Amino acid sequence: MGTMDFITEGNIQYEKTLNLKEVLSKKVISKNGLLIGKVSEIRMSNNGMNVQGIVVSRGFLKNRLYISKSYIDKLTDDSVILKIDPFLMSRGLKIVTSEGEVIGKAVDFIRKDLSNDITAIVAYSFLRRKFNIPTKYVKSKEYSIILKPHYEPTKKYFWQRS
Amino acid sequence: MNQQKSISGKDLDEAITSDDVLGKEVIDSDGRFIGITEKVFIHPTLLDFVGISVDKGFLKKGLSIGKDFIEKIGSQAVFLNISVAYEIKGMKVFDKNGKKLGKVSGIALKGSGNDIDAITLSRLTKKWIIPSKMIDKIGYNVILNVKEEDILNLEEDK
Repeated sequence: MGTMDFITEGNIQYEKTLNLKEVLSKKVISKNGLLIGKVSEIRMSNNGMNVQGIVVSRGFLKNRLYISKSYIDKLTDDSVILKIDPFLMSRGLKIVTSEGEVIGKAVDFIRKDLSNDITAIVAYSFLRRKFNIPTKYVKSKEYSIILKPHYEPTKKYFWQRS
Repeated sequence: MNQQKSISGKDLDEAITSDDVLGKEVIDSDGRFIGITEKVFIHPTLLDFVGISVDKGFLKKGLSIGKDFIEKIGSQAVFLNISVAYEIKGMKVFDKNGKKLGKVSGIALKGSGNDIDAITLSRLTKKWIIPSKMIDKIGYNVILNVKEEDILNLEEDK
């Protein structure tokens, strides 16, 4: 490849910039190492030329995910590392009470606008149907969602009007 | 039914029995289901509860867990206050830039505790021993605080 001429103002070093084309199709990894998917788009602002976020492809039949730059820790030549573990990836996790009873699975999350902050978990079990668990009752979330001791699970119903 | 007589000299209403422990799910601090309690260990002379043995399932090695690592014995499960170090076996390993380096194929612990001394990283036929100081984070996978070049500079484990 031929040499490159530079037209630049200020002290921005070319070597310290990133070729966005190289970032496309790189892996996206959450704060704790969960593989989220691959970068399919890098979104820039119309004015200012700043990166606003990335679109992540998560595989066949799965919704794509837009992650804004405030949740991105770093873009590297090898991957994109996030500052968060996206709650949306926790769908399907078991919900366990402080006594160890599995009371259902997380099917959705009620979020503050479109952020990664959630106010409640939407849980489902065959006998309890759909019910919400406010986040104040959540003790931890990683491989399953463990609840605090004072949470009273909803009763099981063998019959219930929908 | 007749009430059971007691010569314990103590109020046993709050006590739990081995039946309350055995056969329960064991859940670690990350919410991982580790296995089922199959034994309760009791010190032969002090008669204290020492720990539990966990059955991790068909063809998997069992695991003994000391009582210091048990947070609570719930009515339906036993909760641990640690993330079991052995569970990282098989996790992917990324360098500090998120480059996938391989998988964890072995773990060396400090003494008989749960602190990791080193992990064995395997990539195809190559293996490296990575000291714990090179580990940044262990969550869903392992993230190192060094670059791939630093690992390649380590001596290979034969």
